[in-house]
Order: sequence, then C-alpha cells, then structure tokens
Amino acid sequence: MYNRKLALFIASTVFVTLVATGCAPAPTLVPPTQPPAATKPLATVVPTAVPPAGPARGGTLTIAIAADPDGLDPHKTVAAATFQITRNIYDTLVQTDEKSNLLPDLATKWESTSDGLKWTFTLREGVKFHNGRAMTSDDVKFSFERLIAKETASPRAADYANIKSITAPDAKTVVFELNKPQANFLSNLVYGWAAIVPKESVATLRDKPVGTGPFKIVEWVKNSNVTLEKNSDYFIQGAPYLDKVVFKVAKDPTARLAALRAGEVDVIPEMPVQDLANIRKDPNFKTIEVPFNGIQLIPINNKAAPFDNVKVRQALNYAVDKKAVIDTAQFGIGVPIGTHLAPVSDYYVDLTTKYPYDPSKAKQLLADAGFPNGFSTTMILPQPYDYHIRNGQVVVDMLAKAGIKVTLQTMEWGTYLTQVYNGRQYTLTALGHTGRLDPDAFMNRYISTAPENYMNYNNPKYDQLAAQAAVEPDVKKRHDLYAQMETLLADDAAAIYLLAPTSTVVTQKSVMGWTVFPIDIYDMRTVWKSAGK
Amino acid sequence: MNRQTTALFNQKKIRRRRNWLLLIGGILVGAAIVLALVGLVYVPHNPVLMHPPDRGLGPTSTYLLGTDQFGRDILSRIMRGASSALLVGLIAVGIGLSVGVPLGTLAGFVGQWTDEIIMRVMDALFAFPAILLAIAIVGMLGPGLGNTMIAIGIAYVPIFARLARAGVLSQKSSVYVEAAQSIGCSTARLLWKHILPNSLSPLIVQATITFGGAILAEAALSYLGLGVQPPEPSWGQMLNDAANYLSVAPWLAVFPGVMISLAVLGFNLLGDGLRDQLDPQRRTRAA
Repeated sequence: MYNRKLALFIASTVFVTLVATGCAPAPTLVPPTQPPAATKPLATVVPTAVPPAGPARGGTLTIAIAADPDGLDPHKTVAAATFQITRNIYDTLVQTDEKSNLLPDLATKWESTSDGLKWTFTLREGVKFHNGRAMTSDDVKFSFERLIAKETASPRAADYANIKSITAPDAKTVVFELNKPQANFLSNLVYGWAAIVPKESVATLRDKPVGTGPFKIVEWVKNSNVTLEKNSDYFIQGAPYLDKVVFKVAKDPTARLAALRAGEVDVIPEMPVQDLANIRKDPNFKTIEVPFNGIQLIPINNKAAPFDNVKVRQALNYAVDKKAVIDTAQFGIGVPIGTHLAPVSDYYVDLTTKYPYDPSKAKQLLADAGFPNGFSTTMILPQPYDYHIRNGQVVVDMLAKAGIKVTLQTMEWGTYLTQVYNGRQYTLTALGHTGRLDPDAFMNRYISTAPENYMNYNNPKYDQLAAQAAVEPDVKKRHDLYAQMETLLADDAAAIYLLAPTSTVVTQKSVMGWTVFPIDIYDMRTVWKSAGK
Repeated sequence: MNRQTTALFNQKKIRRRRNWLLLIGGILVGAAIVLALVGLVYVPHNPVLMHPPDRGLGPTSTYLLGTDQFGRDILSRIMRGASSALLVGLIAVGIGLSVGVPLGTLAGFVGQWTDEIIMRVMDALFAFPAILLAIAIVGMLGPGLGNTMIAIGIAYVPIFARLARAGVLSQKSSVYVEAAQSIGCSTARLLWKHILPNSLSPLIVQATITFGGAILAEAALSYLGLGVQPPEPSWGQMLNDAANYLSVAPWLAVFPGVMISLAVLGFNLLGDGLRDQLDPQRRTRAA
C-alpha cells in the first residue's frame, strides 16, 4: 500500500511533475540534476508537493505486444519491438519527454564548444549495472565505439559516423569530438540503440541483457513473453513503482483484444483503429489517444512516366479527398497533412490547404499534361498492413472518378521491400513513415542521392537546403530551412500526403501514469496500478 | 467405407443413403453454380465500387447481407466471388486432369524407366502439401486470379497422375486388354478406347472432390493476399479482410465463411455420392 513517508522521500529527492492523463494524477520521474548548459530551460521540470493520492507500489503489469523482440542487444537491431522493451533495461545519456524536450538521463549535464565540434558530458554518479558494477565513462566510450564498429554491424552505425573520437578524461566525464557540426547530434543520443552497456556482458546481451535501467531481465521465452523485475538499485530512488512487467507477445489484434477483455493483459499499446470506437464506449477500459509521430502517404515514383510530370502529380493530389480517406480507411482517426512531416513536430508547416479536394481541377491538370481521357497505372499494396491497403483502395476509388484507372496488386512485405522500397520498381504505392525527434529523419529521404529516396525525388534546391539544415546550429534558422523544404515537397507534389495517425493505447481502468512518447518506447518508470483491482 | 458395417445394412438402406449424398451434394453444387451464373449477369449493387456513407452496416433490406468497411454490398461481392471460386475450381482441376492423366497413363503403360522418372517427379511434388506448393508457385509467378489457377492446377497434377497410373496398371494385365493387343489394336487406340474409359470413374470422383479442394485453396491463397486482387472480390479475401473487424462486424466473416463451407461440403458430398454410384462392385451389390 501507499506509504506516506516513502512518498515524501521520493518528493524530496525526485522532481515530480503532475501530468493530467485520464482522471488520476500521473507522476513523471525526472532524475535530480542541474539544468544542462547547452539546452533550452527545462520548463516542464517543476518540483511540486506530494500528489494527494499518490502512486501505489507493487504489482505486475502485463502488456500485449504485437511482435517478439529481435534480440535484446540494443546495438544489433532496428526492430521497434526491441526498443519498446529495452528502454526499461538500459539507459541512454539523454532522454526525451512526451513533448520532445531533451532531458538528462545517465548524463547530468552537457556542453558544446561554440563551433559545435566538441561535446562534453558529465555522468551521473552512483549508477550501477544490474550486475552490481558501477557505470563509468569507460562504459560510455565502450558502448559508442561498439555501436560504431564495423564488426558490430549495427544498422544504425551510420547515424554516428560523424563522431571523430570519444575520450574519457576521468570517471565521470566523456568527450565526443565531431568531424563537422551536426544539428541532431544530441537528439541522436536518446534512441534505444544508443544505450550504455557493460563491457563484460556484451557477448550475451542478445538473450541476457544487462543495463542500468529501472528493470532487470527475468526471462525471455521466445514468441511468448519477456518478463522484467524491478531493479531496486535503480538510480532514481523510489522508482519504479511496479514489481514486475510482462511483455506478452500476441500477434493477432483480435487475440490481444480478447486477452484485454478477459483481464489477462493490462495494456494494449497499439490498438487497431477499427476496434477503437467500441472500446471508447466501454466503461471498463481507458483509452489514451495522442497524435503519433508518423505519417501515412501514397508515394509516387517521381521518375516513372507519366508521374515525372508535376501536373500529373498535382492532379493526383487534387483528386484525393483526405478527410474522406481518414473517415473511410482509418475510421475517422487521424488528421490530414500536406507535407512529409507529422503535425506533432514543431517543425511542421500546415500545407493542407494547398490541394483542396477538387476533381474538376484534377481533370483540367490531366488535360493540360496531355491526358484528357486519363490513363491507366498500377498501385502496389504492402501485405499484411491492412491500414495501408485500405488507404490505397480508397484512394484508387477516388482516382477512378478523376479518370485515372489504377489496378491494385498486393505484395508480401519481403518482396515489397526488395522491389518497391529498395528496387524502386513501382509507380504508386501506399506506405507510412515514422519519425524521430529531429525532422531530418523524415525529410532526408528526399535528398536526390539518399539511398532511401525510393520516390526518386530530385530537386537541387531541396538538396541544398537539406545540406544547410544538417549543420545549422541556430534553431530558428533551422526551422526556416525545414519550412522551405516542406513547402518544396508540397509544391512539387512529391507524393499524396494523406494523414498523421493517432497513437491509441488502451488500458484497464487500474493502470495509471502511462505516457506516450514521440519515439517508439514504452517507459514503465512512471506506470503504476491502483489498488482494488 | 468399412465393408463390415456396409454389410450390416440391407440393400434398400444402402441405396437410400447413396441418394442422399448425391442429392445434397448436387443441390449445394447446383446452387453455387446458379449463384455464380446469376452473379455474372446481375448483382444487386456494384461489388467493387465504394459507398462510404453506408459502410459497416449489418444486414438491412437494402443490403441483405450487410456492407463491408468500404460500404460495398456483401451479397453482391459473394455472388461475384462465387464465379471466381468456381472458375478456379474448373481451370485448376482441368490443368490437373489434362497434365496428370496423360503423364500417369504413360507411366503406367510404358513402365520401367519412364515410370520411374515420371513418378519420382510426381512423388517430389506430392511431398509438399498442395497449398504450400501453390503458395510457392504463386510466389514465383506473382499474385492474381490467373496465376492462382495455374498454381493450384500444378499442385494437383500428381494426384491425378497417380490415380491414372493405378488405373492403367490394374487394367493393363486384364484379359480384355490382352485380347485387344492380340488382334493388333494400336497402343493409342488401346489406351483411349479400352483402358482409359475403364479407369475413368475414380478420376471423376477425385476430380469432384478436388474441385472442392481447389475452391478452398483459392480462398486460402486469397486470404494470404496472393489470389484475387482487390477490389475484385473473392471469398477468401473477404474472410481475410473480415478478420480485422471480427469484434465490430462479425457478419463480414460469417457470410463468406458459410459460402466456402457450403461449396466445399457440396463438392465433397457430390464426390462421395458419385463414388458410391460409380463403384462397379458396390453397384452390382446394390442392384
């Protein structure tokens, strides 16, 4: 049960922020720290009094996840399923809150030289790995060198290729030197793959992860569950609240829902849109709906005739009623977008009014482009992503009304990646992208030489702006550069930008403090279960 | 059928039971054919055109079986799906028969090395479950109705080849074949006029039952997204779509599921009935 002495203790050592989620107060734990020198002031971190009805301790939380993790070694995978879990096992130097603010984690403060080439991090003291050994600057140096090393073959190594050297002048200081200024350097330290690991355990991290995080591994039964237990040596005293967290693999959405209704699971972090309407009405459950840092679109191969003609691409944009796509294909959940960025990003520029739904204008543009009677083409849909397939079907139905006859072809995901995403052999498709904290993860794919530029977009002006934005340290100037890039994409109608989906989490009434982050992690440090159920 | 059990029944009962199978099977298959034929000329609503305002409706007077997530009429889609289901059955069984029977006949009649080579290849094909083989073939050819038919047809070739070979082997040594050979009957004529007609009945029975299997295979391939491509309807694909809405719109899964079950049941019953009817031993015993 709730212990008042303990709570006072927590409140005195930890800054507790009240965030209104649902009906109960949810605590946000932020480690004790001095505000870091090189970032904006931490407006959200305000010490407050003890909440009137504080978090209860103990209990087991069961979370239904859609996919088994691809190993628990953070340096060796890109699987979202891995990082959703490993946030609770490992820590990173820097962390993010739900508003994309960068906060201290294993580093208590950091500063950079004015040319942005040298970053000095001060590490938190008294942090221990799950094996009992103290974490030092050598571990940080080792972890990043392992992440970058060719032998590790980390799919994310390229993101850190700009690091020239890492030095550890003393046990609590780490210095990164960069080849050239990098605007997203700090935010790159937040992701799960930048986790700090102990040197002596790396051989077995895949199955037996060892970190400094709030939970320790108990067992990972492949394709069944990952079970974690509380790390009582965690550096934030009093955290976490839960004794145990079970990530239960349930691939079928209907099975996940059935398990929730039966009380076998407490949380479904990703609820399919089609089931949400019923769940919202159900008084037994709580839903958390937050704009998702991702987009869904109809990518166009900008090189394939007749889509190499900008008028044809603009015609496609006029022919699609985005609101109707959301209503029909996504059951009314999501917001329309006008460019390749999610509205949750503070770099987002609203360009949704650029191409209002106007079939006659679409026909006019097609006639101007030399297709007064429309034309025929194909659209490839990725199986088994039902929400993309629905988007594609609805869009094709709309395009038919503008005179463009589109034949649909579904393609299994592996083949799709080879042929469409990497091979660029397609004309139209339906797909989604998820973002990171920095807008460059979304926008860099339109650089003409980018390997992931599967839409074959090519605009020298865009390339030039992107190169500038990558090194621009001034936040305001960067905003301006990205705004120009977003506008270019919309002007050139590089794709049909449909919508930004919503993150929908469904939990039992007893689950408190669940937070949705702009990156794909489930953070259990703030979650607790109210007594009585 | 267990012979001992059969012997316990009197002759009248046997005949009545046999009629039942044929009758029910025939009615179900006939109904499916009628549905498919009607579906080709008349459907209540356009089966592929979306009508978003009416999406996700349960059965109503306008939409007898309800509408799907895009507002398309389920009944119309089932009717249109019936024709592709039957077409797949027809073509796939046709391929299986027209490739498998000549191969099996050749193997059985010539024997020796020819037999060995043909039948080992058939065994290799047979080692894969038919649906797995079909998935592999569609994987190579690409998805679509046409390729689905070819894939299922190829997967069924060894079944018919084995059956034809067994028929030829059992007939080859019979007295009437020797007699025909002795009066100088040509091999082609011998096979076509004498041996094949006498080994035909198991093939007909197998073809009927396989027809049901082919419908099921098409449904399975379409369920996996490899068969009929959207927006054209197929029972299996409708079932796949419906799986996403099981908790909100169960009727989406029920109707195509029922159709698949009834059609496959119909062809199996018809096959069983035909076997009883065509089996020469059973026929003489019943007569």
